Amino acid sequence: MSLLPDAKQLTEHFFRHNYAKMVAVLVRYFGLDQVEIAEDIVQDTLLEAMEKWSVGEVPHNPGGWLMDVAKKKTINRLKRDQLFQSKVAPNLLPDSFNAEVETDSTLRMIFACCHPLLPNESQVALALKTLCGLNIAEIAHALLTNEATVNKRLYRAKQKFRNGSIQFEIPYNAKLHERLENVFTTLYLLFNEGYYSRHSEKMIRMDLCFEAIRLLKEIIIAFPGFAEAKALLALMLLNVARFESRMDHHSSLIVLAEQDRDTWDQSLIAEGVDYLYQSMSGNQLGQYHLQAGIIAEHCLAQDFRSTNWVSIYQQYSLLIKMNDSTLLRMNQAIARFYTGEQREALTDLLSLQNEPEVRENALYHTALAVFQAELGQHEPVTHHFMLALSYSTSKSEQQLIRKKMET
Amino acid sequence: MKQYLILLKGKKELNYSPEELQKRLEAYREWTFDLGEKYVISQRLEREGAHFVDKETIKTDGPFLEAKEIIAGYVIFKADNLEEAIGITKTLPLIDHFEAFLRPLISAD
Repeated sequence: MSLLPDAKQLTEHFFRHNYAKMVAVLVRYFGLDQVEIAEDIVQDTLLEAMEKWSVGEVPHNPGGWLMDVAKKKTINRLKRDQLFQSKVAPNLLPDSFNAEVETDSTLRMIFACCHPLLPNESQVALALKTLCGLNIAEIAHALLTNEATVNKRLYRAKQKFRNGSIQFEIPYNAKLHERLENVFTTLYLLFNEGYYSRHSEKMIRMDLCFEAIRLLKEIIIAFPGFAEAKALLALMLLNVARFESRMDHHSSLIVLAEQDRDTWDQSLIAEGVDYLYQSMSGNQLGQYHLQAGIIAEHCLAQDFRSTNWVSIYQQYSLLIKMNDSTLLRMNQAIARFYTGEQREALTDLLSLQNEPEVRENALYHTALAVFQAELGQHEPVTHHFMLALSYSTSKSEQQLIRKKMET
Repeated sequence: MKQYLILLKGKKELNYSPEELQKRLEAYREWTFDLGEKYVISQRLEREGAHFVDKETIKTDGPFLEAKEIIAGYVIFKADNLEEAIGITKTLPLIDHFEAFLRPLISAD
């Protein structure tokens, strides 16, 4: 008798995501300071599942099966360790592992891992370990670092768990908004880690992006009233839709003209735009709204020229009011150029030339050269193209600059 | 057609990530499916047990065997000859994780 290949009935990353879910539930009983015990029990549970399901049927409700086994192992563990019996056993009621508890535990874990007391790089490593179910080797690989560094980052985080400075709880009232902002920051870090990584493996980068999206969706289901979360989700979806032709961290709008719009994922764009509309229900307008709004204009435009540059220019202006930076001003000037205010835009751009962030920025000089060429000022054009070439660090960027030089 | 037995012996610590465990599970199930009629049975063995050197000498007992010493399981399948059986064993996805001993079973007739 041969088995059906029904292991495919397990969703993608089923083990990984259930690992994270079960650890969160068990930490409820053991406490954050004992997260390692929870991790051991869950790992053991998955091993048992792998052994059983390799040769037998996969149960109809594999998630429930895992939770039951983990629960039995937890009780066995407690019987061996009398000290915990009084603390944990009374909480282990028969129905204490239901879906509601699972969701609640996962949310608590998200808040714990995105706690502002944890250093940023620890937050990302911890999120990958505890919220996404990656092991140390996989985290090291994803973050382009080594296992010792990952262990160090996790150790620092777990120290905070052990000394009791971080609670396993869902914040409420006034604190909730502040703590949610920390969660958004961490998830955005996780997303950017995938999106802007120098990693050569596309699978791994996409994976990090989609993990951030998955966790953010859980937050939105739990706290539907927070428009900022929907704006951030829109931003992530619209970015990931253009993954194939993405820009790097410091690149500018000028590159966009060259992007192949056929590679953009239309269903992700539709989902992103939908979340962006939903995020506009309140009267909040934050950075995520504006960033997503700018990308949405690009995604919805037929081509580079017919883009709504006035809207983009205005959104950059608002962003600058919130959080001024030279790179934002550079992009604002570029948007202005395409609105038709070419001379004003060139003046804006030239006024930035002594700023350290753009002085050696290849794209800044490319933009200058392109503007000057369009305005018929031939003298400085070559100069800026040469500067752009000399500051450029990537081959594809240099190709782009040469292409612009010829036209 | 003859039946062949693969005996699997652990060769390193069983410390796989959840993702790897799932990949392994999927790969193994696909393998048994692809074997079709040639697949007979396979079974994992529990980690508890004892290793007797002779009647008086038990080398190890209890659940505390090192992973790399464990006979972890067996697979029985059908093949026309040893050559084919070796070929099939080479495609077994567990071969990355275990040492494998392949032996023909002597049939009763």
